[in-house]
Amino acid sequence: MSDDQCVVPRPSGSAGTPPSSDAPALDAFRNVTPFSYRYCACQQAAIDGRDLMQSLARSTRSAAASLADTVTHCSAIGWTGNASNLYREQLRQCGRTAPAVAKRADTAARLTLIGGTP
Amino acid sequence: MNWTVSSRIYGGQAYSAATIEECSGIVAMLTAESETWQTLGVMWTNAKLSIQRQRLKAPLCPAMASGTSTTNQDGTVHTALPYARLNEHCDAQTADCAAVAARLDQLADLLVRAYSLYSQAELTTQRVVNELIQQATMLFPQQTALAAGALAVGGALGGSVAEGGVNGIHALSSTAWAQEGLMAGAASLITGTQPGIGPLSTNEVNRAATMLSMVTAPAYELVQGGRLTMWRKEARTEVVRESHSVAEALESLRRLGEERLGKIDLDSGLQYGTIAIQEYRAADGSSSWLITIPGTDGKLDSPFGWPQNVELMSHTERRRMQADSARLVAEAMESAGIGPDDPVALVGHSQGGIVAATIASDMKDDYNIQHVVTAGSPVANHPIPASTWVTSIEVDDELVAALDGAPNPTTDTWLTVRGQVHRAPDGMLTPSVNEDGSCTPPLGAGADMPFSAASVRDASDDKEISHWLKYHQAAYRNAIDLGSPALQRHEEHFRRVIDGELVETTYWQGRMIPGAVTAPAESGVGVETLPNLAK
Repeated sequence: MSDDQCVVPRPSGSAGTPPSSDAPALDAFRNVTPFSYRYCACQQAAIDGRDLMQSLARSTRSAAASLADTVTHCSAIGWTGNASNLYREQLRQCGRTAPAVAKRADTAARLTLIGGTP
Repeated sequence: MNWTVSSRIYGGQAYSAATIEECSGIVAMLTAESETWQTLGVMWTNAKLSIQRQRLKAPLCPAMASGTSTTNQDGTVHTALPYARLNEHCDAQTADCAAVAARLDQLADLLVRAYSLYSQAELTTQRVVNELIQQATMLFPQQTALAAGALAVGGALGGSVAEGGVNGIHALSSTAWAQEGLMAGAASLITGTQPGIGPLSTNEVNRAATMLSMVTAPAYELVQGGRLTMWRKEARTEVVRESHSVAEALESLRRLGEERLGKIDLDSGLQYGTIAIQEYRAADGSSSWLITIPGTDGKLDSPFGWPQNVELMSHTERRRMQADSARLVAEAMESAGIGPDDPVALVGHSQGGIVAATIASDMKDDYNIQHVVTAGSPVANHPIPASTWVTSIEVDDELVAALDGAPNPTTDTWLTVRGQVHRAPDGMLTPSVNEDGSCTPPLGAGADMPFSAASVRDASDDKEISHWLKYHQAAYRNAIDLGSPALQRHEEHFRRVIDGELVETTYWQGRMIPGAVTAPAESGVGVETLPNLAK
């Protein structure tokens, strides 16, 4: 199978926007076959993937920032003893893990930008 | 296989409303953060699934197949994201988010247990359940007995199947939540308490014990005799060591209890029916005393036999103090030279704990009893004065501690540590109670949350009766590790009571003698013979 068989020329609108279909049946057909009508679903998949990763990266950054505040607040409790030492140590560990998770989320979001360009 | 005990602490609150509010707020924050991170983890899982689903929309697209974006000769663009790497990221994010959420939950639970945040709600629930079961037992005794039997048999069968061998001890675990209510109900039937009166009192068991002891005490007197002899016994080796904490005192209690029953061999020469009294001297020259009282030994001529438990559980002072074990301790205290103003702490296991509570209740005018430590003892209804601090340790499924049919009081000076026994994976925790009974263990290798529970030393692979003192030691250890301010307060009080250096440890042994008063041939330093005046 050649690439030519996969898609027809790009529609007149935005490259990433699926064209309006002439018939619902064609829409369904277009989504499951490489011999689609005027458009390959890979483009929309890439756009959706980018949007999803960027949205998740934002959520993760927000959660990490919130956790940092929580760690600071919760560590201030006047509690002593073995378990309290462990409590503070593990709170700090959570506080260190959260930025790393946020950073990886950003990396994933950037990957979608790099990978999307031929 | 390890058995572990996780503890909750009731009573002994030393917290202001502001402290409780602060802790509750922190727990709420941690819980909310945990939910956020759980949701985030689910979102990353869904993201992975979403990306995979999107790829399936163009299964034969060359870019999707190769993972490389391409442009056709006619300018048509085929776009591919680095799906494999994105999948890896999603998996890693899911795992990390779940780990953060789980850790935050564990930390919140640790704080809840350390500050006993839900203890009042749990106790209220327990009391309501107890009363309902008690009323059901009184109104429908046969049906309740059948239901309790079915619960016990079901638990035993289920536990045995899980364990791979027949073990009836699991019946205790399956009925643990109902034992106090059932005991109170059964006692109400014995005493003829009317339904509806039960909720007004909690000492039905003690009233029943008074009635039963009127039969059991004279009957047993015929078997073992009614005269108690006591003498001081020299030990060849050290059994009860110097203690400056509850944990150390519990370890000494275990050593004495097991040595006199022959479970361990310290070559001390001490036998059953023996208690220990230690004198401590403070820097100002004043004396304080620690009395160590092991539990029932069940020997025929011992003052610590089974029937004595019934007398000790009586609701009347006179009947309680007629128990041979209580008389032995009272006489030993006098013989040891404890002054009326000397601070005294008593620590006892099982019957020893009931004796300690009895002495604190009924000899409050004779001695300055400042602190009582009970392990596995049903003492909820003993009238211990508020000026005496009580630290009780109980295990949920040991049965014995539930024989009083009521939860312990929860006052500033009465604190109860309740342990729950769990089976733990191999190697999850390091042994928790040290030889010296110390309370500051290192973190075990691989122990992720070492303070979620404490291991039981020398526990068997199979489920065993959790009334053994080592389970109470593990429960107390876990409670200490939690850093509960209330428990720390009790621990500090105990230390203050026996402040100073150990001067002397004396052992006092008792025997029941039928017929004429005679001293045993192996009498030690001195001999005291005590007629049982009450019988």
